[in-house]
Amino acid sequence: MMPFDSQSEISDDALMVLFANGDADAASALAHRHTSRVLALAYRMLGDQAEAEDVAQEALMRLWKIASEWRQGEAKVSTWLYRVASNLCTDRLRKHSGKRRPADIDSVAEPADETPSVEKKMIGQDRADALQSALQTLPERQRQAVSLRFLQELSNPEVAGVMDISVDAVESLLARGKRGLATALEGRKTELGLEF
Amino acid sequence: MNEHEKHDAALNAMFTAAKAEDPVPSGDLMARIMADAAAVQTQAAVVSAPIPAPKSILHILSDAFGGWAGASTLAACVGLGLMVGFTSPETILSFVPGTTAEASEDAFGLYFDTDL
Repeated sequence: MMPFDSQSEISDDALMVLFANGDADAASALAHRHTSRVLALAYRMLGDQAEAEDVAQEALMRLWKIASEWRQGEAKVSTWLYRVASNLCTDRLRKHSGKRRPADIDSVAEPADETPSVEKKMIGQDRADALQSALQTLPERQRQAVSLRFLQELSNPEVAGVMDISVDAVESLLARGKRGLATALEGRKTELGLEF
Repeated sequence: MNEHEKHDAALNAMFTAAKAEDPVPSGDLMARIMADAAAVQTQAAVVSAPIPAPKSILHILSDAFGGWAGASTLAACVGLGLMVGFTSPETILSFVPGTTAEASEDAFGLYFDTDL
């Protein structure tokens, strides 16, 4: 059997069939193709790397289990995984609600001052950290929509499909989410080299 | 650039920076995911394997005699033996020490009440 990799042109649907027929290479190809995106979404939603990894593993586990019943052409594997991962994140956030509050961007520790030679890299890291903290201040649905649209780069209809809402509702969530982010980042715009 | 466009540009810069820092799946995570996949595939293979039907008494008996081939051979031999015994017993009794064909015929006739 020829090995597959994430660059393979074999469709996800075909890989699902191969997986259901016991092909281990198909599992590897699917995992390499989708894990990083599912992990990134879970991290944006939860703000915790270990929990995000658990969600990614569980989402992929559900994919393996559904493989034998997968209906080709009905849903995209990526959309299906995003939906499962989103639901798993929502479950975790609800379990945690009351135990912890969304991070306050002002409470996030400032990174230590480093040498000028790494300044550019640090700005990028600072911005990424600041955005992650700002995301945690958004209501869950806005955070999910913003993450899917602007970080996972799904189209509005795709986001609507994952979240099972209308495109209009997605646009509304995105508009409010962006305003929320701008407000959360307002106090650090100079430090982050932003103009708004 | 108006205020709205400035906000969008600033947020886009933030999104770009965040995407560059996306978490990368660790080797441990990938190993766990692949182990899950292997476990699901193994379980599916076990479930889909054909389950042998329960054996009937005839099958059990035939197995005791070496399967259908053995049982058929045994039945053929028994049939052949009976046929030889009834049609020409002298060919059998002449091999038995202390018997003669006539005496054997009498004994056979008395025992089976036949008129040979």
